[in-house]
Amino acid sequence: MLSRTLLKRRELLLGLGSAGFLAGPVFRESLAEGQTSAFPIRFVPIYLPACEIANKFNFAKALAPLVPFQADSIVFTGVNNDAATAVWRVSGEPHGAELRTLLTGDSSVKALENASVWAKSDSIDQIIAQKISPDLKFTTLQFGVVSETHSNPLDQRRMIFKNSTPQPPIEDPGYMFARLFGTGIPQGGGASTANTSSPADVMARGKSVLDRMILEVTALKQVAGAGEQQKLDQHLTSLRELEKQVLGGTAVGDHGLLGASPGPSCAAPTLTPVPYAQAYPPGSGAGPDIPGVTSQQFQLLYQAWNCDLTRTASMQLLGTAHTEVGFNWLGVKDDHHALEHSGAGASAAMDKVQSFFTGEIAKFLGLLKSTPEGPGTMLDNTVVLLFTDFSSGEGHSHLDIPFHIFGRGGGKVTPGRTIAYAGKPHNLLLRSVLNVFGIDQASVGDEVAGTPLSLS
Amino acid sequence: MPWAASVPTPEPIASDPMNTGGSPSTIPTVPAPAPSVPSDTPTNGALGPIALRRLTTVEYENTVQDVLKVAPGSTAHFRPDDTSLGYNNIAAALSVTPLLAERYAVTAHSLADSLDLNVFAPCAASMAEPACVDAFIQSFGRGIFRRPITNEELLGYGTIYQDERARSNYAGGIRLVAEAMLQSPHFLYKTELGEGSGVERKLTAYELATQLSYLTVGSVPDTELTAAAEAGKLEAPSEREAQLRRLLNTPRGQRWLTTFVEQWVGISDAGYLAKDTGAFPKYTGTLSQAVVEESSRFIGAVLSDAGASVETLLTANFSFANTELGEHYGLAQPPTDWQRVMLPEGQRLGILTQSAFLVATSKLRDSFPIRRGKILRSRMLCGDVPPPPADLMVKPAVINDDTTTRLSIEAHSQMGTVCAGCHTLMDPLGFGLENYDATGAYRTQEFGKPINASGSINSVSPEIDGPFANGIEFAKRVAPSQVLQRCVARESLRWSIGRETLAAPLTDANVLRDQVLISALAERLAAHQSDLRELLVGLVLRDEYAFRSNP
Repeated sequence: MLSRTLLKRRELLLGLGSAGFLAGPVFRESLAEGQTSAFPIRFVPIYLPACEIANKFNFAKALAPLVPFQADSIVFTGVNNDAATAVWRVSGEPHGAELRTLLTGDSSVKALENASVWAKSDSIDQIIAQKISPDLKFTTLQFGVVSETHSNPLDQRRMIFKNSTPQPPIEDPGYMFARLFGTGIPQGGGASTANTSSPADVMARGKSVLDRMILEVTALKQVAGAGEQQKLDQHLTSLRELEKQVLGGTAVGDHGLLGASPGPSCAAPTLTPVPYAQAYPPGSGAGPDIPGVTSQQFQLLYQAWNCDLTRTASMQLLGTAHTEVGFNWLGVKDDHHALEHSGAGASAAMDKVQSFFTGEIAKFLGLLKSTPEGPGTMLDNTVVLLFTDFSSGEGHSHLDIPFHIFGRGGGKVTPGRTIAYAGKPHNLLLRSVLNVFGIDQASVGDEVAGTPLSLS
Repeated sequence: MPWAASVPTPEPIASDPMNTGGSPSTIPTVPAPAPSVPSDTPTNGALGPIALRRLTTVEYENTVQDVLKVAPGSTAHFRPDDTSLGYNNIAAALSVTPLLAERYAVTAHSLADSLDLNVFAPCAASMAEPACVDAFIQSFGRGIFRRPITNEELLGYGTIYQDERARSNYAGGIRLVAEAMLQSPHFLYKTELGEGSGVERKLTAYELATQLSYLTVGSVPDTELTAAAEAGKLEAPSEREAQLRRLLNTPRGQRWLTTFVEQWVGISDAGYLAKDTGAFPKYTGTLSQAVVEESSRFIGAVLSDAGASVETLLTANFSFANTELGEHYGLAQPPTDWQRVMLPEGQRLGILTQSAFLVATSKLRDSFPIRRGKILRSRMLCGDVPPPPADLMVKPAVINDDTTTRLSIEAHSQMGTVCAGCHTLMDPLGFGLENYDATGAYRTQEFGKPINASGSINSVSPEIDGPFANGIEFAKRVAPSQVLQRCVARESLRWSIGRETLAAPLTDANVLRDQVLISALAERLAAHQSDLRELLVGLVLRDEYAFRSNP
């Protein structure tokens, strides 16, 4: 159903080019709540699996493609992920702990065997999204690249949490394209009412269904018992999110393609999404189309922001202890986990793989930097948090974890320097990032000693 | 961090990431196995707390196929459900994320759009339109809510109809009602709320029927079960048993129980796992599919023909193969198409030596004895592996590229006593499967060196502990053991009730209840020639099956 309407839409998009969308409002007129800059400030955490910080995760090696953005970056040293260490000690599973804790700082998770209990704290991308883009068409977007399929079920691991519920990434660029730039979620009637469907009708249908659903879930909450409240709260959150897509969609522009404050360059990306079966072919064979998917996911993120469909996102590249795919197009046969555990012997191969991904990140930063916004560029109004899980793949070390920030956060971040954490927990770093967005929490995840260092 | 804080944990010693190893602050100790509780211990009267269980993607698919009479494929674009404890139906792990709510909305629209109104909402010229609408809301709701709808619901959905009728026409209104009902929490969740307001709640007849039906066939109750529910018969354990046995013996029931076995053994995703095409050029997409089909056919055959015996699952000398798989297994005469085959004697025995399990527990190119051992220990023996000390830092030993997998793991994990403490619980189990490579092909050599597939079961129970010559010997020893019976009882219980089973402390009434249930089911399994179906029968026969507690 979706794909049929999407195709029509895509033909239309391709036919019009970007000019079709310039007909809409191009001036940034509104400021989201809590926004201090005249332009949207945006946030995306980008995860890339384990690197050896000592000799790889620096601008001379794996980060070489990012050298042009060195002056736009802060390098953090000596940041420890103590929450992951705590989880590992309890769960006995070195993997999984890091993903769950990196953006939550929360060690209140149980062992892999009991994976139904997840991080209790929201990850900071969700906290920030709730602050800066709750009223946009999408509160936030979770992107992934080979983050779900091609992974062993025992390796199921999650990075983003809200309401103690893992928020899975979308690893299919086709579906992401449809959500962002398709005709939206269809409402009611179908063929029998096609002739009478004005945008107002579509909205009215969506409202009548969603009002009923919200009423029913709310009523269930009254009788469902303490153990089920969180689940139903999550359900309500999801319905509200749907409500924005359905009801907010037609209010602005063409089925909601345009967000609240679209930039002049806002347009559907002129890309043809890699078909799912080609992106993630089942079974053996060529393996997933990692280059195609990675490139498209970043392009989609860029245009989602440019059209102000949301102001936050997350990007999960691969997963932790990723054992199920190799990197054939780079001539690397080993899987990522094998590379992590192969020590110096795999150095060259690891550099190739990491440089591929940092190269894609560099292209994304390049798009942001080449898009004028106010007196500067989109990158100036953005915080990109790049991090990995282990500082030493061999030892599963959560000490001295690589964290980098790119962008100026609308003037709240002063890049071009190194900030030394000297063994302090990353909870403080997460608080510093929240501060950029005007959020001052007494703690993020576990309560830890110390105060966050200013990024400005 | 309330949960983590309640666990006694040693202070970690700050360690240098580049440290080459040294002693960690603590060396883990093996936990003593929990004593089994006598099955006749009195327990509290409810199976668990009142609950809402979201339909899994597969249950949703089955349900719309059955009620809406649509072709398979409605959920083709749903993402797989999150698993917990190895199962995809654990209620605590199943919620409605924004992404899923979107899928539900899009799918509901599509299903409502293609609904045949002549079948589902006929309205003869002689009938008044409001009567037709009420009839549709009642019959459609009865089907997908798995119970009669309430007056409030009749009014609420009636309003949705009327509003849309004003915008369009009869068909438009009916379709919008269907679209809404297909997103209703009363459709999306199986409820276990029960009746009344006391601490112990008796499930309604409809909830009981729903429980039994999704347990046995993963879909809505059929006509016969519905009739039994409406006649109030399901309160009687004997009637529950009769209905359960009837459903389990249908092809659908056997397929559904097969999915339990696949998840228990951990082979559900074997078909999605790629292998290194350079090292294994013959491990193609079709062979990957055949590997999955072999186990599916095998489990199905054991459940239908071989007394559903757990012992047979682990020790059958037969399986199923097509030409490609027959060649993969080195059969003397590979069959021309799928058929039952005898496994090469001394090379394979039972499901743990089938490619699906071996593929799922390997890496891209290498076998993975540590993972294999961990899974054998946790899924077959229900044995714990204590956590490694968090401050443990290990530099891998330098090994040559042609070192066998076994020797390289021994060099990594068994040097000194620090790692060996835990790895002796896992690795020697996994070593028993070293005769099978990452694709499950049989091998006697690796890098020109002979395979050593000997291993041992350590610190599980005197009943089965001790060395074995290879995986076949392991399977033969474990298959008839009480350890396995108790373990599969626990596993089937988790799958049947969709939640974690509680293990400690026994002074907690809910823990005691779960442990008594496990003992009772294990005994029943032993008394019935290890017939898997008896685990479900034993469960529904319990009085507490019909009760939930609040709080």
